[in-house]
Amino acid sequence: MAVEGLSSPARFEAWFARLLAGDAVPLAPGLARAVAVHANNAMAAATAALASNFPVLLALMGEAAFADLAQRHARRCPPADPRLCLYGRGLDETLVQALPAGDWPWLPDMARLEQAVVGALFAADPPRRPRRLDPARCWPLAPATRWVWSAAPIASLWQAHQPGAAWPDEFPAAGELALISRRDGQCLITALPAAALPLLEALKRRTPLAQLPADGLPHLPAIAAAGALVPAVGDG
Amino acid sequence: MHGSLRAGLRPGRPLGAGIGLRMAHLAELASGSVTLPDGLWLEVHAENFMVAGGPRRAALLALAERHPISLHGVGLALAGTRMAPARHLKALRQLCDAVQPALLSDHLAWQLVGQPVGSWHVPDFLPFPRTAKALALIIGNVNRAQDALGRRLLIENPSHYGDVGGHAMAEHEFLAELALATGCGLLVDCNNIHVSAHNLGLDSGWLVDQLPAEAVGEIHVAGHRPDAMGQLLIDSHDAPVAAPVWALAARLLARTGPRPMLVERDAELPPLADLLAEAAQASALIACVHHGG
Repeated sequence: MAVEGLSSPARFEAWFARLLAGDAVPLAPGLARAVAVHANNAMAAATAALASNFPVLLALMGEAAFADLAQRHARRCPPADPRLCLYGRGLDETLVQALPAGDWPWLPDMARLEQAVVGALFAADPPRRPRRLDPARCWPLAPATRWVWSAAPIASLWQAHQPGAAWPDEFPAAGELALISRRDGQCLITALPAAALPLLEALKRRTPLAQLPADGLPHLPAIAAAGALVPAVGDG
Repeated sequence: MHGSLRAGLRPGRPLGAGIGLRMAHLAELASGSVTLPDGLWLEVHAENFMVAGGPRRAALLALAERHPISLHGVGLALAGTRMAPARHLKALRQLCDAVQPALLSDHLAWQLVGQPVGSWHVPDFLPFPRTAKALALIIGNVNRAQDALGRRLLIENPSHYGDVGGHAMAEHEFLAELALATGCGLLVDCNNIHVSAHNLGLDSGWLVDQLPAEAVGEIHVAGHRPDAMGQLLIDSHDAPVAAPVWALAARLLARTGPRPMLVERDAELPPLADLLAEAAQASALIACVHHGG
């Protein structure tokens, strides 16, 4: 029988894990089929999760190319957490390894953006009680807030691929700073100029309002309107 | 153990039929725009909601105000030497405290793989030899989980696609011992029994008849399909409940009396109305037993 000498659960698990990884050969044909079903189920669940979590990347790459990428990633970085709704960290690095050098440089950035969207979607809710703003105190970022800088117009690309979105006549020629935030239960992507980055980083460092970089302040209303800051009295 | 755990059901009206709630239907139901049958309950995969916050979790909490919720876990890895870590149990406990589920369940399987392939949570339910050592391990794991969660768990029989061998006891005996030792209940998946019986060459009706009826706390019915070779049945949850599975559920209900029954569907999701029609069929089966039909 297949598990002779494997009466210890730990030894059985180690052996079965080698079967799943293709590093050992089942001792019975019937068991080989069973292992194949489990390996296929595991791969199907992981790749389906990636397709669900990275819909714009899927649309940009096409189903066949994305399926290849997803299988490659599932082998390189298999899920370590049963919460597959969060699965996909490192997909940008898998893409960099898989892509011919220099081709489609915006795709890894889109993977980073969609990973940030996943994080934003499931981040903690901001405090309900509005904060009274004080120049001597910081205005904290909301827990869902993230940003990704890309040399490509990544925010515009993401927005163009949302259900019902109009396709723009042309995309911006410059790179974009994509602000990811959550407002009214929806993830928002706001394109900001690169000049807003020092302001976002200062907010992340919990810099007092009076000490925020002056040249970034014109972007503060857009950041607040996107729900990227905790609610404040008089905000919005 | 029995006395220190919640019974696993909220007091009040016993649960009848339920449906698996998947993301495609979540927004539709959470909006309240769809009127669901009175008494219908909803089962969700707990891990999809074990997050810090956000709209998905908020939608579940809103639904929990209107319908009994069952939290069906896929991540406790109760049959493994590497059970889910404490942080996972803590997150599940927090979700339970927020949702106050009517039922809480997970699987008789292992998932966490260590060396030589690194840390890997295999998103499937892996088999193991049913030995005395395995039983002792799982009893410890179930006790630890129930203590951490403060609730009674229902443990689901998995689907089998081949015999790993080395068993010292049949699955029904193993489940009975586990329930006796830990106070856990059983979630009997009749589709899994049908699929396993086909794949292992066993008599599904006989398997149902051997289960410890008094421990059964929930029944699942679901669809399946043959594999590409036409040799194995796959527990795919992507088709309507098959007639033999309904028959097994009726056979089990005749032994257990009325039990909550879930129509489980994970892929090729039909319109909500189709799922509700299957739930109505489950309700009719339960009512038939209830009224001695």
